[in-house]
Amino acid sequence: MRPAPLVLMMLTGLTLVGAGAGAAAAVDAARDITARQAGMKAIGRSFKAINDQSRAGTPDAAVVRAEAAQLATLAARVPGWFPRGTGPGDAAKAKVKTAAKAEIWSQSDDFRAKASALSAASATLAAAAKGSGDVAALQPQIRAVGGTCKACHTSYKVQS
Amino acid sequence: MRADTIRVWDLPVRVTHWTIAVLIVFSYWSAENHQLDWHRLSGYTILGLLLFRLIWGLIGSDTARFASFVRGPGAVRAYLKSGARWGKAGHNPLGGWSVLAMLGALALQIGMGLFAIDEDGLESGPLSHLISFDQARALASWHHDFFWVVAGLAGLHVVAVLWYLLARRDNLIRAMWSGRAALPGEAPRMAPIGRALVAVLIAAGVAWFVANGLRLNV
Repeated sequence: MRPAPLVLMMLTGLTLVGAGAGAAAAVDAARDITARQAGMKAIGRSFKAINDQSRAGTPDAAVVRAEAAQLATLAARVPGWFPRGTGPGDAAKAKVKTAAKAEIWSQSDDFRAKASALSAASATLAAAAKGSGDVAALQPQIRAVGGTCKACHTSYKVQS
Repeated sequence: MRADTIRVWDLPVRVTHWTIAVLIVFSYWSAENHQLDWHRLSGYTILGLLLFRLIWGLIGSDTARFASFVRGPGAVRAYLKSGARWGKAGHNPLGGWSVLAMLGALALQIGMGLFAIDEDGLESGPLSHLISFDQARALASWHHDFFWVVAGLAGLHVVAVLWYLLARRDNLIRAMWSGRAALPGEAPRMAPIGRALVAVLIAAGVAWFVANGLRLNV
């Protein structure tokens, strides 16, 4: 074959591969961002359940134990919900919305530290809830967990 | 006290009016600055004032009673068409409906706030435990947006009052502050202060009960 058609075919092939990769990345970003948002909502649900019990007249220690265990499980997954390629720019390309700030990836050490704080605090809460039926005594640790949510969101989530 | 004036608005109505005005601003500021404890306290206080206003609208002074200033569409139309001064103590027919609109909007705003929760599940209204996280998040979003309806109605109210002052030379601000206005005719009957105290106690009790999450434990 003469050079020009061959070069043309190669360029076309590369463009198609590039476009395909871009489209696949967009699908991945949309899927990962949606999964991340669902995960965060699940954390919120568990934390609300724990708080509601702690304020109830007769708290249900079994509910608190179960929700605290669930919360600790979800908390450990948080860093994995923020792979490269799921930032604000990627979200825009994939036509989904994210409140995640670009600093999550540019200041990843600090972000991971804050995610670890949530993991540690919720693990402590789960252990305390497992060991005792006294829900009122868990209040300080419940507040500590809430504090770790807030600390990370203040720095790394776009506030509405 | 000016010689040719009569007492139009009693003290409970005036205190309620000005306190709500200040607390709307404070509620907005406290929310924007993440002072949620103050925000909730402000909301509970407005709730108590709304409850008091509701009771007082049934048993209070003449001009405070809903029956005295809530008029049908015919009366509103007639007032607007005549273009004349109302000339009587109390709200004119259009003003009467604006009162209901503002009180209603405030009630709705507080109603939504009572059930709201933030994204962390950390800050919440006292009744959020009665609904799911997702429902409470939706109410938080609407409560956030609906503030602009409250602000819009309040803004319209201020513009209207200024129009009456500047175009009609009718000083409604002074009347709502001092309670007195230069009007002909008999002075409206004022309800005794003891009745107001009973209404305050009932309103405060209900507001406390709601703030406590509809629980009686202290």
